[in-house]
Amino acid sequence: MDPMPIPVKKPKRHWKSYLFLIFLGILAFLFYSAYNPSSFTGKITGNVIRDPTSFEGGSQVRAELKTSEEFEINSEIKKINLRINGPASFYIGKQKIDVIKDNSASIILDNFKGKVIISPGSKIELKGDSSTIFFDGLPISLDSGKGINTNLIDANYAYIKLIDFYLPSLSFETSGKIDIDNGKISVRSEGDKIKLPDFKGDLEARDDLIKIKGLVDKKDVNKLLESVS
Amino acid sequence: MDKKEKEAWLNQPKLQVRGSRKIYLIIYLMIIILITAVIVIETSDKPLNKNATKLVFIFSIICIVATEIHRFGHSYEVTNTALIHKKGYFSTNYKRVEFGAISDSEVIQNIWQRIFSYGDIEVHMYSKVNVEVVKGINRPDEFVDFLENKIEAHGGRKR
Repeated sequence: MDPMPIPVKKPKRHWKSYLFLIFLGILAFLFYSAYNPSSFTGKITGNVIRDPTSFEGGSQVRAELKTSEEFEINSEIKKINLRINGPASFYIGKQKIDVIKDNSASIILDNFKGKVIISPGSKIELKGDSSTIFFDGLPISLDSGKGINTNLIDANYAYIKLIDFYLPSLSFETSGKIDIDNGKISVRSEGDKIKLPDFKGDLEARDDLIKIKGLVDKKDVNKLLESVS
Repeated sequence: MDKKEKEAWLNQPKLQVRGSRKIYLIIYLMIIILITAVIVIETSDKPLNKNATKLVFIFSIICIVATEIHRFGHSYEVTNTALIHKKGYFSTNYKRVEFGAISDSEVIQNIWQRIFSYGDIEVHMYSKVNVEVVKGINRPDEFVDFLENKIEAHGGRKR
């Protein structure tokens, strides 16, 4: 009589664990990209997320616009150059600095990460962290190298320049001229809501005139034109 | 058995079942959580990453298609004489267990399966070694009742 065959145990499949890990990965990516949109412009995710600087034939955009609408920029900004008119209160950490009436102050924020709200009437609100602050030329930074919390509420600006920032989308109602690819395409907006998808570049505001200079993906140029037409 | 009885016996209903979709509840729950996350981010003032949305869409589609393919790969049929398990898509594995070989059957349900009214059935054979498992079907009690009635109608178990 032949001996009874010993049943061979099949190797346990771990597909459920893999599936759960993929699920967690997607969920984490979804929330991380929502809360840190600017993190996806760097080198680490360059292959997955589009970096406007690596757009193949990215289109240059220059615009001079007037807006009657408040708009918010929530991003990492390499440098903010700002002049505010008093009266205004500027907070560096818990320290309050008052700019009295008829005085003005120059503020430079390096490696700013946070929110900038520009409103009609040259109003500005700013909240975030910066690596170094120059207040009227005086440098302020922490020895630990950590970001310094900065807060500016309801101040009036003489000018503001945001240098080198990325936004997945910027949209506001505006009037003015937009040039794409050094004037190859030129459109005029008359109170239209413009959308700048995947924009990387600079923004300058003086009075109510906003100058935008940067790059958008060629694929997104149509979206920009559609928003104006 | 006269002709009429034979005809009536042949016309007896058969039962064909596939695995319940309830066995994929965890996968459906993952899809629901991801879609809810997309909706929450979209309705909040946070930017929704296009690639993350694409990943959610691809993950959902792959999961739904895979579960349906898996489900259609197995079917169990109780005929007048045997329990048949069909497995596969293009090349099929067709296992037939004659009623005469079946000694007893057992319904196996954990708490989760009891709540959602689905479970497995182990169909034991006299040879003891062989067990045919009917996996993850809806209302396993009814399936066992049907199988037992069929065995009885077929002439009952061997003594």
